[in-house]
Amino acid sequence: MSSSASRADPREHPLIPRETKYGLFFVSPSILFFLVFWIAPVVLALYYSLTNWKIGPNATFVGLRNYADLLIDPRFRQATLASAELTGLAVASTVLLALGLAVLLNDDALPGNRLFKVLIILPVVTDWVATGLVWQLVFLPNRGVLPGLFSLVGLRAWMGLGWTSTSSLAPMAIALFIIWKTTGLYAIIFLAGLKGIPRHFAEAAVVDGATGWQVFQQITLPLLRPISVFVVVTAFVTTVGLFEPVFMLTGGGPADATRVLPIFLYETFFQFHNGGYASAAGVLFLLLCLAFAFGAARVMRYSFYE
Amino acid sequence: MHRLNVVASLLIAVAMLTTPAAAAMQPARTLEVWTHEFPPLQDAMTKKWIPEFEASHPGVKVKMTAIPFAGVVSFDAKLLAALSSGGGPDFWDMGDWNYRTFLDNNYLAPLDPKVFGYSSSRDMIDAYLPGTTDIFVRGGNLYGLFSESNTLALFYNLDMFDAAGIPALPSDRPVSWTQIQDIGAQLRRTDDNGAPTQIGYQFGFFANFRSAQWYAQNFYELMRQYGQDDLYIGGKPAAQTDAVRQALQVIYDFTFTSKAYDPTFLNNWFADFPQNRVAMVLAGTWMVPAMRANNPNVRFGVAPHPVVNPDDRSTYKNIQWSWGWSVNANKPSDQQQLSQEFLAFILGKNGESTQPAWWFSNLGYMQPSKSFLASGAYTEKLATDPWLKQWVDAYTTYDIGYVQHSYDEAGSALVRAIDRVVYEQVTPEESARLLQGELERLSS
Amino acid sequence: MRHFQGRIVRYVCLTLYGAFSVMPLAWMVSAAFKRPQDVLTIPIRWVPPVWQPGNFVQALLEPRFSGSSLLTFALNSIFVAVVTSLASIILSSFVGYGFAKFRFRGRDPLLWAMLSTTLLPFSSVIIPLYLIMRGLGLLDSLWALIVPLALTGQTIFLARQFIVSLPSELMDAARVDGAGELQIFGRIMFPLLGPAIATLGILTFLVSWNQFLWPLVVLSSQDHFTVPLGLSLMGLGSTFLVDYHLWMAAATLAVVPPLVFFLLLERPYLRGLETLSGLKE
Repeated sequence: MSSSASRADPREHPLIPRETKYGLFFVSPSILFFLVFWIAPVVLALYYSLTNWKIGPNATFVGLRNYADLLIDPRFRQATLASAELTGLAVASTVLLALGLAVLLNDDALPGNRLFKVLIILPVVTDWVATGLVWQLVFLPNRGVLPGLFSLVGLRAWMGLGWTSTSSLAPMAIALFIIWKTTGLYAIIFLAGLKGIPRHFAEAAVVDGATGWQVFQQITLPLLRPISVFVVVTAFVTTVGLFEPVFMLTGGGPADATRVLPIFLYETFFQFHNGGYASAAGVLFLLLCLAFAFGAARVMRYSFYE
Repeated sequence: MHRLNVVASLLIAVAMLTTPAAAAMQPARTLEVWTHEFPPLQDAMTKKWIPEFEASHPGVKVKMTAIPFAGVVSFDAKLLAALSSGGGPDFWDMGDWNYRTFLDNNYLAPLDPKVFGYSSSRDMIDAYLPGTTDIFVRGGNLYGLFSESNTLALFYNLDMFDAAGIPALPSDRPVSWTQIQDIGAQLRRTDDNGAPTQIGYQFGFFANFRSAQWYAQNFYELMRQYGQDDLYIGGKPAAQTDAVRQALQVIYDFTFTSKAYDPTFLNNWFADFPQNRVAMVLAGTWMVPAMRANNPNVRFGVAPHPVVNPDDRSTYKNIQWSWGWSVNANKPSDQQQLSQEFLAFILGKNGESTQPAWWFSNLGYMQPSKSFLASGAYTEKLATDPWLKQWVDAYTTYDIGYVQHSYDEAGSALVRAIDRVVYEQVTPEESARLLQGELERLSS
Repeated sequence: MRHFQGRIVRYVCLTLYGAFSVMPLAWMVSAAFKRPQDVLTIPIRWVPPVWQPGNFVQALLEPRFSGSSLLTFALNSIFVAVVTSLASIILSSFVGYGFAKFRFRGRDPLLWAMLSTTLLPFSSVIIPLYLIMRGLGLLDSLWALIVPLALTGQTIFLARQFIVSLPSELMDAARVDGAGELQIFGRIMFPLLGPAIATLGILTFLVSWNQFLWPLVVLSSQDHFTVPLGLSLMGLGSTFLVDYHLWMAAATLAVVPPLVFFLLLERPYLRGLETLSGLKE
């Protein structure tokens, strides 16, 4: 190999440019992880969903039977409904609350601003189980913290309510727990988004005679659209996949009132040992989330065309 | 770069130091045992049996794990998952409802009669009351041996009865469910806000204790007393029958009509009764040490299991269940051998009655072993605690059987049917109709 | 004047939410110091009438989980979280560097693919993941908890965002001098990563420490349990023992490490969150 100065870098492979070779080299662990921890599970789930696998070594191909059974299974429908109810309630409340908090915090001169930020983030860094133990006692009828607060304000009739054992109340109780635990995170993200909006937009509008509310509605909100979409999608995907808060507060009950999809999945496999069926449910669950994410991406693309 | 190296090394050192000591002193042999969570059982193992076995078998270490069996983290599921992947403990105790599945999947090792001092499996089976070992037996071999065998009798709190002026219940004749509800209604007390401070009756399942086993047991005993043996008749779902409806109606009445039962008030299976918050509960002999741990001075009486009609012997139905010790068939044979030796050590070999006597007096765990029931240890214990007779008599007074569906999908459907009645006040007819639909879908 | 009123409104609202946010945690700490009979009283006593700090010692050291104590679980959690964070820092920077400073065909779609994994809920793939772990022989080991979190779409993205903003001249100069790519990564690029390391570290630590469903699926020996899994053995409907004061003491101990880490690394953490939302380009 000659080594004249005019020759290209000796590390350059004649066919594969150096950048590609090394780029792929550095990126390779992620490709490996992606294959092993995402592609492989999805493929496996797809594979088993087409069989009648239970838990032992035998699995015979049954085509789309599991999917057909799932779609007419009232328990799967109930799990989807329960997920939809809980997620809708929690995400809507969380996002609105987070936005409001961000607006309130968007004032650097406010003394104590940093303290408030820390306070609202505190629940976010804790784990679901430790706080779940606390919230179990918050909702304990007649003796818990919430009944205690009720008695403080004179609502004695409400002290006996079974928040986690009444099917109409349980989703609200779990939603409250989720809201408490996750709002702070999104508030911080919204706050960063708000900070990214140049102040002269709002100032110019005010000079033109717009009220604070008009400024918010017609300038701030549209500019926040991308961030809002990000928050809503993240909140949705996170909340719909939550297992812990439901597990800690109700375990899925009473009856099936809060048996959301993650619990349904876990139970179908780890309790009833119905592997093929559970895999099919997992695939449908994934598709549901993908559909939502794509829908949200659409909305986001639309917003750029305005 | 240098500082980063130092920091990284420090962190790695921290991680190393906190590594669970797997590399530490490894004993010669380790036995791994799983038990269902029942504090007296865990105490018995950790304070007596394991230390004694380790002392007499130097170089052997026994490691026990206790797993709760109510809730989503179910002991049975973990066990099955572990065994199906070729792992799991060396031996464990489990409920009778698992034996069929585990035997079908060949997870259990046949117990060697020689280790237990018998010359054959036949002899070993015959050492127990007829019929009691049925669920452990397949192909003439025993695959499990009793940790305990249970029927149910009615505990009632004498302090609460006396305070309300209610006379003690007869010990030779069962009362009816209606009478229980009447007493229960009389014993219900609330405070100024209408919140209950004490109630009359405890079903084995409640809001903070959703055990499928207890839902099934309390339901099946009612359904059988109304004349139907199982949720399936001739292999077909039979939930829209009078018997099922009537059984659900009893549960409904307890909750809403007489208000003898309150699922959100009950909190702790073993503390509510001895601490005078609930007056009556159906339980087994194991209840005594468990509740004495929460109130050593509890005063209680024991009456026979209530029936639908005390004048009609055909309604004298009771349920039984057993917890059995079993050995993992997928472990090396020397581990299996050691496991079986441990079981023989704690349960007693042919002719030994000290172990069954110990389990009985300390945990109320009964082995229906003929030699134990005829032994001096047993009759002495009976003299000091005559109410123990209720459980033994039950084998002759009542028609007893195992529950067919509790933890499987049919049992789960039953749990939902009862939840609908108790938490949503759905009528028994409606709940039974929905149950029938679910069972039919499961069979299709 | 309106400005002042606006301020008051802000304060009131923020204080209300701040109180809501903190109250359950404050109650938890207060209950952790109480005697059993004082935990659930009506009216609520925020200050324990009798202080019982021994609860913490008991909650931490009592071997109530058939021979294991909360301390056992804590050691497991620390091991897993620290090792995962270290692995994540190294791997994420490694991979992020590749995405940030190299151009190759398919790079952007691949990056989007990594990011898309954050769109899918983990609980939908636990069954096949469990099977994969079983196949790798990692069931019931702490490594099963470490490996899946050692590299995630989020940490890759974070690292990439940060590295993109680093000047390339140093690296180019090193190449001209004949340094190897790995040397460039280790000696030049990595030391510049300071703030990003803190962010990656705390994010991964929190995610690893707080995980519950995956350990639930994968672990069966109690002495391998992590803190959240161990805590789930307590609680209504999980156990016969109803010693609320100890539950609260254990819960308090469980939230202390993440809280401490967060308070120490608050700024990097918040900055990391902002980066993830795509705001810091």
